[in-house]
Amino acid sequence: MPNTINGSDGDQFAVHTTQQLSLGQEMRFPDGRRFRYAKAPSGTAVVVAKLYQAAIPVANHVLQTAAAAAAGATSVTLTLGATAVTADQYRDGYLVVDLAANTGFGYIYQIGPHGDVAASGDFIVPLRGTVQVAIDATANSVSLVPNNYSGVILAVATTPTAVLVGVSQKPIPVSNFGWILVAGTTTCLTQGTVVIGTIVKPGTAAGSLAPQATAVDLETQTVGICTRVATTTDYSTFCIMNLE
Amino acid sequence: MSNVISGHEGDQWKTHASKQLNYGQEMRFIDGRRYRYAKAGAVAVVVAKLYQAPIPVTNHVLRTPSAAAVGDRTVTIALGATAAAEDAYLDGYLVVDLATNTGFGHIYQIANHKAIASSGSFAVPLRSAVQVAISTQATSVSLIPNNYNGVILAIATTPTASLAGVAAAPFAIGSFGWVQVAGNCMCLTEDNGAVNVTEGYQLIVGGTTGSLMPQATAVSLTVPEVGICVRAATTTDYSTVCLTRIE
Repeated sequence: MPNTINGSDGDQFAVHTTQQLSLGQEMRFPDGRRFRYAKAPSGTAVVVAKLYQAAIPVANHVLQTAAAAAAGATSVTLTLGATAVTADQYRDGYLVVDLAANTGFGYIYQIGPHGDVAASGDFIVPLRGTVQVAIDATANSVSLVPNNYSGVILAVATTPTAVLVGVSQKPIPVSNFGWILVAGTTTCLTQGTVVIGTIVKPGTAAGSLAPQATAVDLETQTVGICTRVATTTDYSTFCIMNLE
Repeated sequence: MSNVISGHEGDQWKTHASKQLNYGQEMRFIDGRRYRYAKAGAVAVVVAKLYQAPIPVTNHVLRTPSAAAVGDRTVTIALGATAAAEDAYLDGYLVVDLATNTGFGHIYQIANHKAIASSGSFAVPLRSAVQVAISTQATSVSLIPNNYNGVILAIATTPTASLAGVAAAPFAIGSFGWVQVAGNCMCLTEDNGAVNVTEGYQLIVGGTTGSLMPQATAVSLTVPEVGICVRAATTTDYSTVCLTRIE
């Protein structure tokens, strides 16, 4: 399958109970709309026309200690902290070597399908590629990062906590799969007085878009441009252009 | 060959001693990661650092051309006192900068070429035909290298060229490999003195060459945004970054 799907109107509303595509798979429409395949988290369903962000990395799964892995290895074993890993939680996500003190620093490896791992257990992380530079056993130097589209959550108000991923097009039940828009025209929950032709950013209401304001300009991502104004708490039309 | 290659995990680490693809050839992964084909400049490329395009050569910009008619496939210009190495401008551009030249505003891609001596006459081979006649207006035509031909570490703080991407793997001087232009990558990060590297925050070019740091008031107006922090590492270590604004 090509890495980009050519879709047409209606395809963005498809929802799957089981994963049919890789997380983050792109679908393009002729009119410039682009979507990526995402999973709703296990605790909360995705709702239509709100802004979503990536899942926040799990504290007990970052800066963990790995067993040494030689160049060419296709798995890396690390000891989890006191939080279990569910099956495929990190499928299509990444193992990263964060610390310069580890010989394997600076590399990012995509993770394949995997089973459950108990809290504080040893996780044999299956890689889709091979280790490029030997990873040593330096303490607290390796992290697990979920795929940006695995378990998306409503964009957190005001203070960013993860990368923004897109605007939902249809409700997606918990743990189901569907599409979120990453570029082009969409409706989204509006907060405040937006103005046609001007920049919008995440609002203080979770999942909303609001006019850009000086106070939040420097740290938070811009998202797009207002195309059709609706009143606050209604759904304006936006052209999403800055998410990727 | 398609203008976009569909790649898979592992392809981003491939390096070549000789050029296999056009500079800037795009390779896309399913998860949103995108890469472009690049050549290392005078210094080897190292993993997980931010790179920029080479800086235009002073003696190769604002030069005087010979007249070129519509349909011509070469434009001859007189170089200044710096030689042009063979294929230094392959996949790069000849641009007509000055409004006083009849051919102003057009950009033409450059094909393979030989080495040209300092102050020599360079018959620049174009990939397409001249669209509007170029006059002999003095100091009105420039040569711009392809953004990925001889990438260098992004200069700290003050931009000097457009950003090219983050190196996915090391590659040797004069050899070829991939720099990442979108999606999740690892990159050297540092705190900016006021704000620590923080998940969800925008990142810009850092104060150390090749690094990223959180956006801050003092530098935010002129320096391009690069991406968003996905997993924050301590300063001078390697954070996971989603590149969103390089292209």
